[in-house]
Amino acid sequence: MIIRAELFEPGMQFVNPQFFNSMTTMHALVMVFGAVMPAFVGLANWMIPMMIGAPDMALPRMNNMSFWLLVAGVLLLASTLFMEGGAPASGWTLYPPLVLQTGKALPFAIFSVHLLGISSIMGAINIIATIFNMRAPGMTLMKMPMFVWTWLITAFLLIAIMPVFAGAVTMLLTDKFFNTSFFDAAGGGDPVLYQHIFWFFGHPEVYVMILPTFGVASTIIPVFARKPLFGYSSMVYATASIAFLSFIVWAHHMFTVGMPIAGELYFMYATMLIAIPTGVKVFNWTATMWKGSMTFETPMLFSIAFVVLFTMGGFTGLMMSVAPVDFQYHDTYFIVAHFHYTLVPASVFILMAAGYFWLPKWTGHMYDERIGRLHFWLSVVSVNILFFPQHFLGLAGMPRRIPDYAVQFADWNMISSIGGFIFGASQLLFLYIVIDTIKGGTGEKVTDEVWEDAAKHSLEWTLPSPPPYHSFTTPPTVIPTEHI
Amino acid sequence: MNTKQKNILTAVILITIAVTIYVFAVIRAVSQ
Repeated sequence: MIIRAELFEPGMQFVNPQFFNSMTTMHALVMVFGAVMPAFVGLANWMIPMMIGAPDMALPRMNNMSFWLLVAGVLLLASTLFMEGGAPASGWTLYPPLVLQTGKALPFAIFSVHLLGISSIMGAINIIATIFNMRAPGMTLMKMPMFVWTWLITAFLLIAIMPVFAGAVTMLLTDKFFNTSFFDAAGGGDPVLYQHIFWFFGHPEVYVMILPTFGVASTIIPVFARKPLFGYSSMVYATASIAFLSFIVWAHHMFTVGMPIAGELYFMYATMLIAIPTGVKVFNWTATMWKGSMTFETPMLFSIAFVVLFTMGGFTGLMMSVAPVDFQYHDTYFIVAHFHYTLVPASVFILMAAGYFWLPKWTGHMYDERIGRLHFWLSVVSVNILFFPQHFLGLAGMPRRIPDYAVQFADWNMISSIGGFIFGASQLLFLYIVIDTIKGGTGEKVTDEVWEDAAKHSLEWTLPSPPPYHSFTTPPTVIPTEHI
Repeated sequence: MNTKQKNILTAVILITIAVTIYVFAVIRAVSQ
């Protein structure tokens, strides 16, 4: 809100440039490590045991430590705002040499990244151990709900990438305080090396946020289309392909650093390959809905909006994968528009869809569908007012991470800010609905199945609403197969 | 081997992999 208020019109309005850059940095770090990732880990912890017929997660103490390290990490990160010299202001990428100019906050920010990384790794270990060791008899890997599959693959991604990021920020720390020169050209190092290491982590990291999104969408859409998921096994293989490709495309984030032409070409073509498994997924969701007996409850509305708007974000990604064209887009608002389309109307919308989908199961009460739909329509309209004009701004050359801009960008920035304010305010409705449903919602007591024939798709709908503290103390005898 | 032992073994293997990747990333950077 501070960022969009500052950008409402040209000139400096509310904050100084240093604080503005701290805001963009903190916004990204908090949304990635403190919001979207923990929200999906939370869903995993709650839903995976129920979906695979287990009583609970595998390693409760490790899970507990993972959660409290997350709280400590986020609080430590937030505390850097109040330190001498302010919070880091180099963007979430924490590029040297800029990030090394941070004041007293740098070691605290790095330590918080370490804590968040350890928390993520412990959460991932727990998810893998649960899925590998605690599935009910008969729940073979190829019968697992897609949400479980996507999380299994995501957990392996996390274990592979978080140590790399931890290594990168540790080297920043030693460069700053222990006279090393990993990223300092004056001492024989290279700042571009940091970019390579960061993006080897950073690109799979964005898939950490999007793969569970795919899993939830693949869970919700078949229930409201009243059909099995189209192409279950191709969904599993597409997810694995996307995860594999995420490790070999990192330098498409740094086409402009001066790579050899062979490198540019390789990373360009490798990036384009991602469109294939992603296209398989979009096709499968569409084919699942095709000729289905569809109804449009709030979770389904958010899921359909996800399919459409995520595809738009995917297409702009494909545009940017073209290396020579990326020289025009690089570090402009076109990039901001692209990744916000893949994160907000995709990951955030699907998190809200998941909330509406499982809230009746979790609480035993039905949410108010009327307010849910109002929330959806306000969100879907305002999110486009917020982010669509940013494509135009980027194509016209407006750089990202600036608090002030030329007057030619004024109109679209004002429209974008208005969209931002409406979108932000609309989310209060979601907060209201969650609290209202916990307190009793519409007063209607929901059945175990909640949604029509949902129990044919996944095991959680065979449990009472709300489910018992330990879900399956005796393993289920019938494994649902409608989703495959 | 019971489920609890399997869980702990899985965690130990995965922690070993994570630590190895961390050490490998730093060693690769040192050798650049």
